[in-house]
Amino acid sequence: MFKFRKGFYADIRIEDRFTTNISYKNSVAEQCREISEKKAFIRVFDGKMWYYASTDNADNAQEELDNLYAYATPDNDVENNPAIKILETNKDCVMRFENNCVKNVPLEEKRDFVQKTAAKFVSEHCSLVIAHYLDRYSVYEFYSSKGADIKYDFQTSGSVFSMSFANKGENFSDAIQKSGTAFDDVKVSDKEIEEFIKESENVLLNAKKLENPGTYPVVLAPIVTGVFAHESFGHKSEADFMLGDETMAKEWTMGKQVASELLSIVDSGTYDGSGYVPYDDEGTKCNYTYLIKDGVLAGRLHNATTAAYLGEKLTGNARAINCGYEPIVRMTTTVIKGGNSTVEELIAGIKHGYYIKNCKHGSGMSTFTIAPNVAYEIVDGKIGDPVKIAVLTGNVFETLGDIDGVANDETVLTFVTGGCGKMEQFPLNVGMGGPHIRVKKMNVQ
Amino acid sequence: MKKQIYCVNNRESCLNFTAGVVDSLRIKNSASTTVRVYDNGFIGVSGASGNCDQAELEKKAIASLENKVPYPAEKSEPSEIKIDLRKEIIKKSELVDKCKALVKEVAESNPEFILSGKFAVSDDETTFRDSDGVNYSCATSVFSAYFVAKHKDSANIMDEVYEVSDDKFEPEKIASDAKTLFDAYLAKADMPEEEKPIFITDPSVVSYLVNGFVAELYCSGASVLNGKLGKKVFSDKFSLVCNRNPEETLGATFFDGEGVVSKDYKSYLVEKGVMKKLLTTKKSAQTFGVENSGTASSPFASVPTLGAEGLSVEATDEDVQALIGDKKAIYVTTSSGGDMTPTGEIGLPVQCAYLFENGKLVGRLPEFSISCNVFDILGDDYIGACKKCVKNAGREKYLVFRAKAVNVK
Repeated sequence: MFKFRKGFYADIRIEDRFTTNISYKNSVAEQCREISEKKAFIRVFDGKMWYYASTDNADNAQEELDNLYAYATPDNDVENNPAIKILETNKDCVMRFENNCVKNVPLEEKRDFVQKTAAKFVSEHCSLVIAHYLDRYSVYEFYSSKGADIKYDFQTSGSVFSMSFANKGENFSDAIQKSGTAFDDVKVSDKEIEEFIKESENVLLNAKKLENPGTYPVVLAPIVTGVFAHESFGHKSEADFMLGDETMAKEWTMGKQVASELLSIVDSGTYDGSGYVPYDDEGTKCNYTYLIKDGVLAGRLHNATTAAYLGEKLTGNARAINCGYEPIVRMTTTVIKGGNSTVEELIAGIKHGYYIKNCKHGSGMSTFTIAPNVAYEIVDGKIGDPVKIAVLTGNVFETLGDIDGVANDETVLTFVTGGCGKMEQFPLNVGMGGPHIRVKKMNVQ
Repeated sequence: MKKQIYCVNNRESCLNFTAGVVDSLRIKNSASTTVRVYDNGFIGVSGASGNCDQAELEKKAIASLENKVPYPAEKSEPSEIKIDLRKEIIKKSELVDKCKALVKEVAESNPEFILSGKFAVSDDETTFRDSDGVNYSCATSVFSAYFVAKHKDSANIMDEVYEVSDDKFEPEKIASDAKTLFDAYLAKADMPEEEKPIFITDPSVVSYLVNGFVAELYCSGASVLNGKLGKKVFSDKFSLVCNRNPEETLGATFFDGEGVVSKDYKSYLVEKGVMKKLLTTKKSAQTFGVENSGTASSPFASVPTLGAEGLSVEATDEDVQALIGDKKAIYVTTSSGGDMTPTGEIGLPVQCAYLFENGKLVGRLPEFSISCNVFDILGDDYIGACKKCVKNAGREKYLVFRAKAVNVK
């Protein structure tokens, strides 16, 4: 299909992306659009440097490839470069969503759903309801000079209903999101709406100020566990941080005890939803990679360059946010594996601590952070009043060692808003999740 | 039927370096066109990337009026303004060699660190035309770079980041600034003992407040700034402005996504401590009966949405010395993951900061968190904002205030 030249490695990635975006504010339409875009990203490697081109016109990919060759110098031995040698040459076509494609659901039907569902979000304390419906159907193609020839599709669909509450100078906002891989997955039941509003009103009217910031035991709900896994350890597992760094290579030796033996974390593109990546953007088939198994360092995430540098296997984690960028090492769906305890047992073991039900965002370096949105005090082993907490922090490795309870309710979550950021590339669709976990101590502020 | 056409063209060359070696060059040329039509109180939109047939886009936009998205259509006064600040910051033929030379110099001057990062040179042109005779065009050039530094003995994935952006390339100043920062990282210092020490930070701490200005939230009573519009809320020295003057704000476009041009290209949300405006689009300004802030953005193929391009704190002094004299201060370079409660209490973890004394960085401080209330740090505890502190290259601004440091590690 494409004409590749000798003396270079080259690949071409094409994405044909369809998206729908519908939003309503207080039952008035704000946005209602469908967009289709087809773009391409081309890479050429000459054994010394990579040359990349991004184009809005995928039909011009061959011309862009030919132009890019002009920057590079041919090397007849390029195929023996370690990073090129290990690249896979898969030939596959994985079209899972053609028969259930969101493109085929009429815009009118999507709009009616948003409008009718949004009308159910009513509270005497709420004066702003924002409703979103978002979907995406992408068809990816990947071709390489080594012979890779891959086509697959990807689909997500979701609804988000956010409410802003106010009462006597106090305010509070929260949202309920339902996401999946088909239009039917976005529906929100009346019971879910009722419970969401009831809890939000309780937080608005009864949340206490955090009287004594300090160190406390905490229980994290699955969404917060997912953010914690992603921020605290997922980013540290991205092996591009280890390039040219002997200290890191020694520090991160496989088999080293890095966490409580209750903890196992995996990353895999096989999970359905926002982190579904059957083939990465270098054409590598997805894997199921244990990052930590029973507290022991078991793996890390690679693109071809990092895998070749460290002499490890490819994992399928070379990803770009779109055809404007080159693939770099990124997570797919990162999950803390479930344990044997019940949620009640985790909470019952706490004299005074906090239950973090959901959060606005998180970050992770040597210290990780989580900004709770809904949190409760735990007193004498029982959930108490809602409480206002700005941020939870902790040293990553101390906290991984301080996990002393893992529940049996592992939940994998998919999203249609937000995403992962790494340097210039934001947002990347990822999945995350886990069970309820208990941490002996975290800094609560 | 009113018609608007909003086009963005971007050309970018970006070099990546890993462990001190330049290893990739990315060339990006992109173009997008958004067409909006207004009829009977509704808006229709369409858009395309790359080369497009505008007549075809107009047909699609008209067809999308069927979606019945309400939007006001005000008549515009004919106006034509063109600003073109594009220039060749680095000759295309010299980009790779000059950046390689700079990476080599910074790496050799700072042998204790493993350096990775990017250089980017971009030219952007944005145009806005409407059927009432408005024709605006704004073009800029921007150089940006960052060096992610990891100490060779460190087990962190990164330890410090030096960033710079400007409309010129000054490799000597960049190399000197990077060395100043990385040298300071190697020295250790003790936290000042004051209960509320002076902090020097980038102005991003103000971002926690921005939601409070959003008209929908404010008018629904769900803003941290409830009831404060028109009132003195902050220090006399604090002014918050959306400055779209491309001569002053790097890469800014002087008109907003709806073709609104503010006086002197500036729209003040807070002026001398008084809350002056809410953030609006034409639609939300009309809905809530408030002045339009002229801060709409124009996402691709979208109705106009709320934006805050060029949001900045107005400098009260040129140099930090004018604000703090010879007092000790804490210069914060990395603080991520913080947040604010609905009552304005901020918890801000600080991952990297330095003791600053007599105009110089003394050494790196232990990790800690800033604990403060937004109305205090921009009120009684606000000292000011300045353009010069530690760096000689680039166009940063610095916020200076007093707050508590807690959880010192």
